[in-house]
Amino acid sequence: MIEPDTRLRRNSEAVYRQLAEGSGGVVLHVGSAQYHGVNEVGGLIWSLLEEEVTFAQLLTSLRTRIDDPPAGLDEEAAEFLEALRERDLAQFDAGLDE
Amino acid sequence: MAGRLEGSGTTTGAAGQATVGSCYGFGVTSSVPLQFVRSGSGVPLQIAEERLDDPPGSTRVALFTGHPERPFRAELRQVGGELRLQVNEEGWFGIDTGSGVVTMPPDPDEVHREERLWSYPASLCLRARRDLAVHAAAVEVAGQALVFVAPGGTGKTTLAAAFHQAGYRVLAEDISCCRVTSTPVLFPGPALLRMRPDSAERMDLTGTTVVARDQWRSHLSIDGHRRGTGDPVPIGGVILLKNSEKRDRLTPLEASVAIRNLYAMSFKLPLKEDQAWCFSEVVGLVGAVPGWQLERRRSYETLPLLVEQIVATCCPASVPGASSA
Repeated sequence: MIEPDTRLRRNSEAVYRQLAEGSGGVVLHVGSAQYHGVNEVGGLIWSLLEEEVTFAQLLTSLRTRIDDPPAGLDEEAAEFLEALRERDLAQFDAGLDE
Repeated sequence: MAGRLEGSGTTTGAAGQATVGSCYGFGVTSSVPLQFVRSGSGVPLQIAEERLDDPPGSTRVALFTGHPERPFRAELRQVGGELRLQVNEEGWFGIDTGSGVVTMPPDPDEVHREERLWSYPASLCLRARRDLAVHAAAVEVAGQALVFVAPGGTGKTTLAAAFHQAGYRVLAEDISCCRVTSTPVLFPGPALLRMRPDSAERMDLTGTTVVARDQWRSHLSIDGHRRGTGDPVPIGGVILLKNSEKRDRLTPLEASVAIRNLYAMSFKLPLKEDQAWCFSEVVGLVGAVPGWQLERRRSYETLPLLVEQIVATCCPASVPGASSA
């Protein structure tokens, strides 16, 4: 469960590459080869994880960058981040303390 | 027909003479006979023969293991600037990518040893050259390379042989060397086919010569007039092979699926920088060439039709009257 103050950051073992314009990108964990394809919003979220941020900060930044953000943006962003964490592509504050 | 072979020989030498030819974009000279190089030149690569040991102080870089049903163990070690590779306790290869020298262990089975040479040792040389080595077969159609990506046992060599049977040139049968730029190219690999004996017997492989047989494989050398040169060939498409029980079907391949499979099938060392580089190359390749997935039945009878279907879909300009849509 991601809380507003949950701190988020990329795993340093993860590599992101942009695909053709409008096609999103791909993230790979170079150690485990775990892999996740991302759409354009996912790519934007990934770019916002360059520095460690809280989930609330990330959502605020995300809303300023998306025209007409959908009602379910928070939930979709949380699902996306959970998917990244499941593949060890992103880390949450609990993970950092372990 | 455009894309089919014109005659071209190799300069394979007799025992004791230097061999000069091309493989994977290398201009190969060798103090021992090599059977599978093509004509042409490239970045110098010298092949020598010497019994090497694993010297004291070497460190293990990687250990590659095969499928349990087909035991395989390759150990890669580094000593100074040189790599040493031993496969299945068969003696050490020395790979000095800085000097462009590969040293092979003495082995009376020269076919087997050369096949080894063009696998891991060559892949290490390609890595040093910053070219991508992919576990894939490749054929030439209308001046373009079609790359068949698949793990072992998926029938990529059989499919490549079907293209040979139809008059096309086989560019690689197990490892394909890709240089990723805005217009990626493939450097032809060794001119050989390794097939299950029953597969080889069921196909018309005129233009090849059986050079060895064992219980698993017939080893065929592609004859000189069917080899062509080692010059690079533009890559026209990547085709991911998948076995099917139902039918043959060729469909466009999603980029994310292509990347995942190509990355898994690419040669890389277990080093973060190597893996990140490989990933970038794969993404670049997928972004630059079209991809398809081929679901294929294991049927010999339908292979000729399948070849026609692949050519019509992936290289429509080569088919008279075909639409390029």
